[in-house]
Amino acid sequence: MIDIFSYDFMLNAFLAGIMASLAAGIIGTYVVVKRIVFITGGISHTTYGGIGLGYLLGFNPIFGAIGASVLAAFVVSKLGRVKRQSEDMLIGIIWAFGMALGIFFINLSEGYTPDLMSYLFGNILLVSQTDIIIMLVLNLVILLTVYLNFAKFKAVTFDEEFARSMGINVDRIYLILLLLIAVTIVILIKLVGIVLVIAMLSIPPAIAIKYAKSIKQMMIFSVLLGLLFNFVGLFSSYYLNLTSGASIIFISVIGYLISYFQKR
Amino acid sequence: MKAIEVNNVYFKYEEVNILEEINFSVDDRDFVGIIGPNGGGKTTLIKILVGLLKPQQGEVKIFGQSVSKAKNLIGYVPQIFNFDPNYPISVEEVVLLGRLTAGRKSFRNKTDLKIVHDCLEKVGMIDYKHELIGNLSGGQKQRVLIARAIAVQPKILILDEPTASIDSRAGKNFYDLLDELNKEMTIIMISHDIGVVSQYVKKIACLNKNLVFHDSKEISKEMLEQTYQCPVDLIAHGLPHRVLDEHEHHHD
Repeated sequence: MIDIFSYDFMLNAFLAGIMASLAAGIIGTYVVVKRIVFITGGISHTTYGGIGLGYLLGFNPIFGAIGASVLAAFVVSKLGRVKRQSEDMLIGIIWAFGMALGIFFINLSEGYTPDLMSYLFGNILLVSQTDIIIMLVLNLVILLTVYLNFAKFKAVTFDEEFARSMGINVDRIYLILLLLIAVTIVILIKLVGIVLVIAMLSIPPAIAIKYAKSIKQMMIFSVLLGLLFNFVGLFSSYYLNLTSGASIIFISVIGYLISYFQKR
Repeated sequence: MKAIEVNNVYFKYEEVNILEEINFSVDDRDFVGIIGPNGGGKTTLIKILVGLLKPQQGEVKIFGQSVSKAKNLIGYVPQIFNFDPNYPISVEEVVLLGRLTAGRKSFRNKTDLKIVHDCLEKVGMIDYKHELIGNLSGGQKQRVLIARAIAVQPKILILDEPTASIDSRAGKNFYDLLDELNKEMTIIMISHDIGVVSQYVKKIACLNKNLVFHDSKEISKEMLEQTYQCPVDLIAHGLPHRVLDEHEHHHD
């Protein structure tokens, strides 16, 4: 079993799994308690536009993904909150528009794009050293921001109206939360892909919320569950020769079903 | 100085006037009950007082200050539970949120914890301090939300329809609690329950787009008819345990 670590890509894969579990457990906790899974799915899919742009202009698509997801977070926050447009409808539009833009850019770019599928469904074999460093930096950004705003995040995700009556700038906190979701999505894309990101952000916290007594506990449980699902998923994808992203999601769903039928 | 001064306030929602020409003032330590029909603008008025909505016209002063500057003078108890019952948060943590006034980053130093403890004691929920909020009954949740509001250490407590989710057994006790709190702060309360209002409050305001402020707690048939715009049977006064005339039930 140790022999699989003799491949560099497997070591990178496990490092990526740790990074992904950390970000997804912490931010996924907010996604689940604030019930913004759909928004998260929308932001995730818009990154395809950025990835396509990366291919077209020849820069690392992951930077395109960062740009697109951050832009999507701003759009949802500004139009949805400040201009009072229906968030639900906005998400539907940017979701499809991002995907269409990605396909359009890739059509325009020359030559063969072999790892395009990997952005949609994830491919652990393609996690590079650079990706690991980007993931590490983004994780630090997430940890620091959550640490500094922990109380306000709790106030806003628990009871927005009361937070507003207390004079907390709810719209700003919500925007910061959406930006952190955008950053988390970028961390997860290489591992599970755009389409499956939503599962990594929602399944571990959905299990954790059953047992947690506080937000902090829910985060810790989510991170641990994420690690478990990631590693079991990676092992099975390696030995059974399956796609890493799909394996991780399968294991996560099995985990969810077990917790569902288990009495609290 | 007046606790609350409302001058010529208008509120429109999509071109429909919800509130028109609202004028009233409330003295410190007053206990005002606001009654009126559904859709009469009660919740809108409350939301303006706590700064959740801004009137298109007119001004509101809280102890001489604008609403946005008076955030820590007001404790707000919303009508419905806005939160997800599965949210993993203890009773103590919920009340601590009342200490998170704007500009504060940390909100759980020794003083905060002491204040939260005292507030929970006051509302009789100290034994549930470590319980998850979702495991409590409706009446218990309401008490926790009152504790959260008074943890702000406000000069004015504003409650939107507080009896809505309280069972009748807990009801009486609940108003004794408000009575107790009224010794320290001004209370504004919306209520459907006109009988209860007239027993406990000091003054009554009737709201149906316009507001009629009564400097006493006597409710007359005319007042109610004017507010509800339909004939209303006058409620029995001074009977603490029976608010409405007993209904006759026919069982076949």
